Amino acid sequence: MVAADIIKRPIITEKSMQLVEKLNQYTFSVDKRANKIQIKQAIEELFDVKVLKVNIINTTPKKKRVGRYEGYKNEMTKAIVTLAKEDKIEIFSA
Amino acid sequence: MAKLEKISDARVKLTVEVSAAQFEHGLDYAFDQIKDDVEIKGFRKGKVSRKVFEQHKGVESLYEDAINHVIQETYHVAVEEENLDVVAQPKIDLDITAVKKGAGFTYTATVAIKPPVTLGQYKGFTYNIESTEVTEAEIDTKMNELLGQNAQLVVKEAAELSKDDTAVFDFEGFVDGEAFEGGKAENHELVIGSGQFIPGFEEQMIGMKPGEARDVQVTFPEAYQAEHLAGKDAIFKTKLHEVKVRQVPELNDAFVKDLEREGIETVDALKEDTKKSLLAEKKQSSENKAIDFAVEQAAKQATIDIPEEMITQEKNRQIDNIKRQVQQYGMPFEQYLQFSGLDQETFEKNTEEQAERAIRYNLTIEAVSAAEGITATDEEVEAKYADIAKQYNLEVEQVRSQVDSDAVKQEVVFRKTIDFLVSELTPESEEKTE
Repeated sequence: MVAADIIKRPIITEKSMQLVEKLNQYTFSVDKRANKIQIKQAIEELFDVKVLKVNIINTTPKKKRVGRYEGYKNEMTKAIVTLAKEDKIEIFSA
Repeated sequence: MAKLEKISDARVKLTVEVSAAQFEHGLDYAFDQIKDDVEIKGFRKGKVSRKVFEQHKGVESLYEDAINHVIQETYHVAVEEENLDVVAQPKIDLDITAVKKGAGFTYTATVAIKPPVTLGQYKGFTYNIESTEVTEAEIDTKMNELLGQNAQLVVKEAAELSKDDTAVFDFEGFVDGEAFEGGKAENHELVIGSGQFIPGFEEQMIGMKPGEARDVQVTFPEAYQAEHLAGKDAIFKTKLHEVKVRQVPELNDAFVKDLEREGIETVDALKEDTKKSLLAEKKQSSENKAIDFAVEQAAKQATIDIPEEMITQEKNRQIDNIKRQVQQYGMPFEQYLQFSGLDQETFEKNTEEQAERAIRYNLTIEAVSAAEGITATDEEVEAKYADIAKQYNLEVEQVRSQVDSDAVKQEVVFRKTIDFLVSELTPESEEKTE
């Protein structure tokens, strides 16, 4: 898998913005099959930064109903990436 | 930072430079205003940071509010710095495409200021102040009016109905032998000769006695409001009940007592009182006429170049005033125009003329008070406060908290200047003797 396939999109919410401000941690949605090492390499390659730590969370799909059809929200793996102090990722802050 | 450029006596151009910091402050302000209503996925309302907002919606969406805010702030500062007497809304010019985040911008405001007044002659106009003498005849007219108002209808026994009497009667009308709607009434009161009924009707009733029945034959006029009756012959069966005459009371002490006016019990006292009120009325009206004349003449002689914006603003203020008043009476504005027989255009033109006159008068009076050095003393301002308080039934302190003392002072000076102008009028007769 190449880096662009592993990192799907940044997650920008109130909570993730707080993490950026307080801990220099950036949250992304990543491919389910990727492991922490792959994610670290992908981030370093894409954004040219130094990654100190990667935490991943597998979100459990929630039950969802559209009319009479039952289903699930998509599964997602979130990766919270801690960067070295001096590094930043631009998409999170203008 | 503002630069002042004079366009004419009554108009200046302000060029104001806005620094990057000021604009940034404006952006902050604009974002603060809308923050609570911004919805972006992942954020609760009001919790979005400006950074995220700008990424989503673009910083340009804040420009309009920010620019307005900045202009408002800097414009007022500029006006104060330059000590301008602004009389109307400024016209602001700005190249919006040149506005960029992180940089300042420059705008110009064209402002109408209070025009300078070149006074012409304002003293010594020839004018005869109207006499305020009350003649015996005028009092008598008033007395007759009063008696007429108190006239009563008295039943005249065993009399024939004649002109100016009031007939109390029943009637029922028939067209082609059939009764029609609205053609019937009982105990109707009608003054014979008043012309309220169809022509011919009242005349035919003359000579009737109480209790008598008579058929009145009339023809509805061609232009009658009820179309199905217009032009038709009709027979009205009438029955007279009573004949009443209007009886004017006699002027004597008893009548005066019946009026129940406080402290007035005799005819002489009533006459005296009437004389007093007539005198006051006349005095007021002659005073007003003198004021009008004095101010008008002074204003005519003065040269003032009133900026158009000032007139427009005053015009709009007056129109708003009228609209509000009309609304208080529960009348739509269009109807008011109809009533006063004006179309929108003439109405606006009239108001504009009025506005111009009002401004001209005010400016002239202001200039005169400046030229004559008329000022108000503290005592006079105090007295004015007391006056206002009395007029609105308020405590003096209450008025003081609501009305600025500068405004009151201005009012006093205004009043004094008008008095001054009036006192400078020269009566014609005096001039002749010189």
